[in-house]
Amino acid sequence: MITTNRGEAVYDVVVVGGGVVGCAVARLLSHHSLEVAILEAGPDIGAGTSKANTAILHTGFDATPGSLEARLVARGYALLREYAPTAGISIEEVGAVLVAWDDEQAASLPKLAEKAAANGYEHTEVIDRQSVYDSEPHLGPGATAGMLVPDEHIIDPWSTPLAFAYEAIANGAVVFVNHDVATCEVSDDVTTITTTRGQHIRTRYLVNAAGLRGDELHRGLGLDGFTIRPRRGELIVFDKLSRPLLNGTVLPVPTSHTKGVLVAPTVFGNVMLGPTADDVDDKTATGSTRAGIDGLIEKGRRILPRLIDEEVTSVYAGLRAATEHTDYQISHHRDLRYVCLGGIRSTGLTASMALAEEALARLLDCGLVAEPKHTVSSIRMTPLGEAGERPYQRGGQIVCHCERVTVGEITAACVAAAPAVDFDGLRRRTRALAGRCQGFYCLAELCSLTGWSVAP
Amino acid sequence: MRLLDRRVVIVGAGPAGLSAAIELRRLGVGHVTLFEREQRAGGIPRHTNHLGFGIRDLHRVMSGPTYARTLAERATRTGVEVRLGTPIFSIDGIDADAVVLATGARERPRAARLVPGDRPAGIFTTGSLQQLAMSHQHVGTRAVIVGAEHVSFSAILTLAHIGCRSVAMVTPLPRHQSFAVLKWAAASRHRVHVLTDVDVAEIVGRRRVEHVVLTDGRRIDCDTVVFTGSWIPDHELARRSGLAMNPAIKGPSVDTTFRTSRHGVFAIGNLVHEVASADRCALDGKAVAAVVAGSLS
Repeated sequence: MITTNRGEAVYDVVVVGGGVVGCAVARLLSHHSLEVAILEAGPDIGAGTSKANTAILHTGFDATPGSLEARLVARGYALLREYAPTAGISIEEVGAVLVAWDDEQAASLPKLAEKAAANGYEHTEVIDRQSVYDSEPHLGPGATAGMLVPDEHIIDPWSTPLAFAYEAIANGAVVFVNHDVATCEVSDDVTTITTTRGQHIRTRYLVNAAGLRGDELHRGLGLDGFTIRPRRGELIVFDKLSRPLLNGTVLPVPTSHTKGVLVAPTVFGNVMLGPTADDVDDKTATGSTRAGIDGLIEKGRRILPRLIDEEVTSVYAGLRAATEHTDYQISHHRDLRYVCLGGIRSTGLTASMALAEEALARLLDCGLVAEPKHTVSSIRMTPLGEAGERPYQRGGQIVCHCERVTVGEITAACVAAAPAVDFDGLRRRTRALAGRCQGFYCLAELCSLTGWSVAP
Repeated sequence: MRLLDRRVVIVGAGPAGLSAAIELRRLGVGHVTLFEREQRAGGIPRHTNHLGFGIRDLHRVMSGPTYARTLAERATRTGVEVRLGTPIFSIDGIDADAVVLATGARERPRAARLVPGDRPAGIFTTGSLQQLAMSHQHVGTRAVIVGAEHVSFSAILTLAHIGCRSVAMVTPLPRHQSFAVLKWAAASRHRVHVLTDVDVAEIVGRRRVEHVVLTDGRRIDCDTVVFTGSWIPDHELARRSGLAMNPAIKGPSVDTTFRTSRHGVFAIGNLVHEVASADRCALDGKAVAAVVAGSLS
């Protein structure tokens, strides 16, 4: 259950941030005899930067060899691939083809394959122009060569943090939403966290998984070392009827700044185009822009021309927690009983479970004693992916016809361990309102089912 | 085979589908089954709570809900098997001598129009707005209407009914596309500014809409934005059934007798042409019934 402040109780570990990383950490900690709490500034789990993601399960083939990110993405990939099917998190094994659009890019492919090998990923294969078109027949003209990355898959990015949170809660962790941390005061044995609304939470150990605002929490503890400057990524999601245009993910040749604009199927059956990469100063600037949308449409027209004839289902923007460094900013501080998971960018979804292991190891090094305990076997989410069976196929009244969501799923989302509290949360838990009509048919019905109002 | 032994399946119980079903029964087709995914028959007029329905087909003037109810009752009375709450995902495997698709059209939502900005609460289409109004839900206090078609003026009436003032109507076209009297009523009675040759450039607001910025740089404070018109056929079933499509309409291609590219499959109403009023769609239904019955006898 999400509960309100428990007064004078002292937690063993408080995780600041209820995104995919914070929830993964809380889940792993909840497997031990520890009192664990997540403090989330927003109204819901996974409602910050974790919700606006490209939803790729990265092999880490293009990471910087030897970096923390390379190691944690590779490890996280293995852990999440094993965990997802047990938890009902949809993964579709579509693979990717990285496409070179000129001779210079084609010439760089062998180097990329070597880099992948240096990262321990041996399955890339450089292919010629014809093989590129054989793998993706609807690509636009001009491809010169390509590289197959057969294990670069797609995953449900919304169910992942929720499954972690639900499992943590089932094992005794508590989640405080609308708890925005203002200050942290560290004394000899207890750290007192005060929120912007004046609530106090006391803990022995602290984990920073605050995402975009991780640097602020870090500085609040008197530390320095990284500053987050969000890198905004705008994305366009196309109608599901475009899904047959694509077999797997089409990647561009990455640059030092960004992985570039890709075209990828989603597990929900859409096709996604994006992201852009713009450095912004505002950590709440999650709006899309004319230039961003127009630029993506233009790029999309070159990569997959027929995609642009299809209807757009949604446009959104996410903020990557980018820093002045190229790698994750992970550190631990024994004197403060504090672990920082900072600067976790778009690979955080893939790396989340490895980041949790990393956090636990560092907490132990800070002096935490964590005895494994008997836990619930696992959490089973209702799979949202198109590839598997969905509840409507077993009957049940459909309320959202575009996404084929049943009344039972809406009810379940509203009474979950971390329940949906608004339409955005409902969308991420069930896909209701995420479809092509965006509520034209079902918004009023959803209001009556949930009891929520659309009035300000 | 006699018409009495024939079986016709219709998908979609809006004015077009209901009228086709009623007429097929009147012409003597023995088994007419009408599938509707919603829990009630009637289609969009169910929620369009103002007068102006039934003129061309029933030769009466009635409100949308009354019109929807009238057609639904006639269908049941004439022996149409109406299967509510029954979505059809594929026409393959439907056991019928003919299939008529009448799945209608919907308004393009904000994202499909590629309008940039934030994604706060307070953004609707007329369709969602009218349903909210039917269940007496309040939506906001100051609305900007995007589009100036017939339905856009309908949105103003709906908003007024639930206590939301329409402050401006915005269209990129040089003039509105509805009756002059509606524009006059909007401007005088509801004090709505009709702004032509301009579009919404950006929606701004964190949790709730705070204002919109127009392409000419003007800013309009509002807490609600209603995207109206810009209809797109609900063509999923048609496309998944492999029907040849008409790229201009984005619905299945049909000849003058509503025949699609697939033998025995017909398509009518707002699925196949520029969006038209409910009674015109109903006339499609009557017309296709004659063609279908003729082809089966």
